[in-house]
Amino acid sequence: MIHKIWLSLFIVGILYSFFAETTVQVNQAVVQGASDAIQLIIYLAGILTFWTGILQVANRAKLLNLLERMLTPVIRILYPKLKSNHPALKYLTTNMVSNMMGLGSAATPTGLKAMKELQATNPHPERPTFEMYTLLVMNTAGFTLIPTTIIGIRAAYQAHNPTDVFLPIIFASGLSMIGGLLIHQFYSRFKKIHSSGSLKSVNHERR
Amino acid sequence: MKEGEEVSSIGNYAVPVFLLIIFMMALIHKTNAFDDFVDGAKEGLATTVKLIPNLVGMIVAIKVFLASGIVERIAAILAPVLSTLHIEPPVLPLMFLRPLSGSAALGFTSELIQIHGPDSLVGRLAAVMQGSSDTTIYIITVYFAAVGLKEMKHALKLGLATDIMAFILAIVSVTVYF
Repeated sequence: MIHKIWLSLFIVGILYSFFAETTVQVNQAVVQGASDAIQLIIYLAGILTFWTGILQVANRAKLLNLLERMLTPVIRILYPKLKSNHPALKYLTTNMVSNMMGLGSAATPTGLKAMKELQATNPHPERPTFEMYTLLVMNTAGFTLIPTTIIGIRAAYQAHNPTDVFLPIIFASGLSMIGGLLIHQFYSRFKKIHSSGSLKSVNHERR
Repeated sequence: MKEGEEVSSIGNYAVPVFLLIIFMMALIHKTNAFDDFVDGAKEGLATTVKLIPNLVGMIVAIKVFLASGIVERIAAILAPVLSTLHIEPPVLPLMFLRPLSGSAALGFTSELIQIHGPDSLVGRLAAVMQGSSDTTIYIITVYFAAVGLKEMKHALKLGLATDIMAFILAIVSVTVYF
């Protein structure tokens, strides 16, 4: 997928520049672009290095554990049909905390483990379950408490106040996540999407 | 547009308060905060270094694409539609790239911020759009592939509907807030 996007950007850009006579600008983009990119990354490297360090302090100081405990009621609301001993719950919680803290690299492995546990109790393994859709909305909404990369880019280009996009981002990602969950709820009732936590599947596992 | 410091008093407190909570927790649990910081920071730096080739490749491609002038051409054709929807023409490609590729979207956002300025309407819109959604199509593909599920149609509809809501909310919040 990425290689197609990459090639299309170049091919469309170069071909269109012949037509629009913007080859001079395209030439300059090729020559200048790479060093611009490196400059941005050097700037970003500072803020990203600092924040991953801070998040490690938070992790060792048990802040992530505290957040996980605080989120347990939310998880119960989001996944009402999973029994409290369902093995996926632990991963679903960690995944949510990782996303909120902007730890994308930690969110994906826990999300995949949660998917595997949800699939293990899926009564119709060829079709996704209610809980899987919920997990996907939680991950694709991009809800993060501190959007460090964005703040870093804004700082790199001398924003007056790099953090002032904080509230609009929380607002847009939070509300779109809730909206996505509501559409999902509505659609699931309408189409009767089955659950990973149905009694049938639990019995099946015991046998 | 008002001055940044007037409109974002809560935003100004978020980062220092967040840091303070973390440092207080470290003090209470008597962890070796500085060593932990260095450990984590090493990992963060390594991740950033690994990102360099991806971003250099993507940013040059995006610069070529933008320099060709094709976005202006498409925006001119779509101008009536875009202005009714209150979409700033320069962010249009970002809305298509965001669900597809993380590095392409990040490169595009940084380009828009550089060209139009971080405190311009376009710069802020790009920042909020980038920050309030994720690489939906990529995530769905990876999550479904991990358990061998092939029925992705509904998941894609759901994920993309969430993204469209995020973009609309980004336009609304940036217009209202700034």
